[in-house]
Amino acid sequence: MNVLLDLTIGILTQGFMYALLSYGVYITYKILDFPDLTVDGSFPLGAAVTAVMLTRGVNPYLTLPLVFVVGALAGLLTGWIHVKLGIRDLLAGIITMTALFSINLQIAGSNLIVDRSVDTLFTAAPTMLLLGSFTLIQRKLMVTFLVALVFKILLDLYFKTKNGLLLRAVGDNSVLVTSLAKDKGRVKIIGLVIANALVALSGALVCHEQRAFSSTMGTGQVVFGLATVIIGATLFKKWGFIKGTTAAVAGSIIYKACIQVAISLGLPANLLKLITAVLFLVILVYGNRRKEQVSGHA
Amino acid sequence: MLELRNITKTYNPGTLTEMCLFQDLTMTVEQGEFVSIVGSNGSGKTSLLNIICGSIPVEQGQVLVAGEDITKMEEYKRYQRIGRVYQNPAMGTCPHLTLFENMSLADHKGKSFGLSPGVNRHRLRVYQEQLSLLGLGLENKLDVLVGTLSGGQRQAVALLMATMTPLDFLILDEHTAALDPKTAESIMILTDQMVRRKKLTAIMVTHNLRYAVEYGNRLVMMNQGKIILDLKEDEKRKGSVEDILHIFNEISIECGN
Ligand SMILES: Nc1ncnc2c1ncn2[C@@H]1O[C@H](COP(=O)(O)OP(=O)(O)OP(=O)(O)O)[C@@H](O)[C@H]1O
Ligand SMILES: [Mg+2]
Repeated sequence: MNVLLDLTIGILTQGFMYALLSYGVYITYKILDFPDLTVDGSFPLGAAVTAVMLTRGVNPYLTLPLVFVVGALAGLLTGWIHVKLGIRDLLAGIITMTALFSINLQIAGSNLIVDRSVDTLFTAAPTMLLLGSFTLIQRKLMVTFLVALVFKILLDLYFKTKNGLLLRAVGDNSVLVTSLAKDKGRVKIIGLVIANALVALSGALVCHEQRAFSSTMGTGQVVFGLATVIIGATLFKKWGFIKGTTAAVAGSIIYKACIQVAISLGLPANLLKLITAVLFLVILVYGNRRKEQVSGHA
Repeated sequence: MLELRNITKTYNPGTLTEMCLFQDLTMTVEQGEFVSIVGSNGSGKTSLLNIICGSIPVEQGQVLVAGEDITKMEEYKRYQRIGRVYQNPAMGTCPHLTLFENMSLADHKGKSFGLSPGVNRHRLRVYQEQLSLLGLGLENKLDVLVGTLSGGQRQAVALLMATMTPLDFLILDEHTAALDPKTAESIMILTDQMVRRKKLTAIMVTHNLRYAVEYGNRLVMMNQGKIILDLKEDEKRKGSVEDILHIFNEISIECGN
């Protein structure tokens, strides 16, 4: 019974950590209509920066805002390549992602393990003061839930501001944004900056949790992000009042649960990416069908 | 006042498909004029509007507004003082935003889009009043996604949105072409009312010769990148649809269309 409970807590923690990545992909893919592959680079970027800072003794809480800024810069680079140099969206992301692979290794030196003696978000004094009576995995659940919730609320508020409205408008009809005398390129860059800041933050949380950075931990993250956003959107389509951010969290948890179940049933870890790809294909085909049905009515 | 001075525009320069559309084109639109532009397909009407709005660059010549050279000004900056409605009703509104959100966006045109609330409930009444002028019952649909409105409704909203803030020019590119005859007529009447009420300077491209003759106070006919007929107020009033159609046909025959 306890094993099952621990497993559930583990899945939820994973879901909340990666929910930040899902928010990022939700912004680029759903709102901006921009398939942003930067994610595969900005996610491990967050982890690399975190691993180095923790090892150097930086306050674990301070790592989060710093990572946020670094991730924002990655988004800025992709945006700049796309908007100012006129490179297609997919390619702009690929260029940044490829560059980041080297940059991440440059930052971390190599794959890094954060020593057990170093405090993380989950073991630092203030956390212990508040949640010291709980076990480590319970603390992980609570802290990651709190971070995912705070950013969900912040994003939902942002989408309701004038700036957020303009962001939603640019993905919906960029011609109109130009007609409003606004530079649509700048609006897109703002979206990419916010999205990749969130993705890097997700990488930072994962690094705190695993106490490790590996140069390949970004592989497939963009597909994961897309899958969670599409799962969320498909499942909650009927309930119009469910917010995109909520759907992204749910998608993230569901996805992590599926993977966990598959592993528990004895699926070799080597096949994970293959299964992910197949799952993603199924989701896309299913999504397309629904789209056709909808446009068939129009 | 808008001036186009000696505009030269070549599409695909230096390639096999090179095409010189405008050569030394000059045109002036006075404050308060409502110009209808007609001309066969490919005569350069949309290109002309695109040059005015800065959507496409020119090789030579200048675009001046009230004496200021805006030839190098970026497109989005020009829309500070230009409103534009496109042929495609989908271009003038955001389908996945509500009517209220769309109106709020247009209402805020030209100002900075910061972190203040995107919609302002206090403006609701104003929007309802403006929408009720359209006579389409849209004043009760402010919470509806604009994508679910019909093409005609969306075009009416697009027209309203394009004219919400003070403008130097209203640019209309076949903005009734995608609509059924009855809706087209009512959008045209709305346009006319809007132009009169706000004393706008407007440039309207249309394939409907009757609209061109009935509305506006100046009629321009284009052919192969040239202005071949330019009727000002009095001359225009004398002309009938038949006369214009006659000229139109003559040119088409000359050019072997
Ligand atoms: N982007 C482009 N590249 C190359 N040629 C173009 C481009 N846009 C327009 N043209 C050419 O310029 C000419 C004028 O086109 P334009 O769209 O201005 O015509 P129009 O008068 O608006 O026609 P219509 O009544 O069909 O809308 C056409 O011959 C067209 O092929
Ligand atoms: Mg045209």
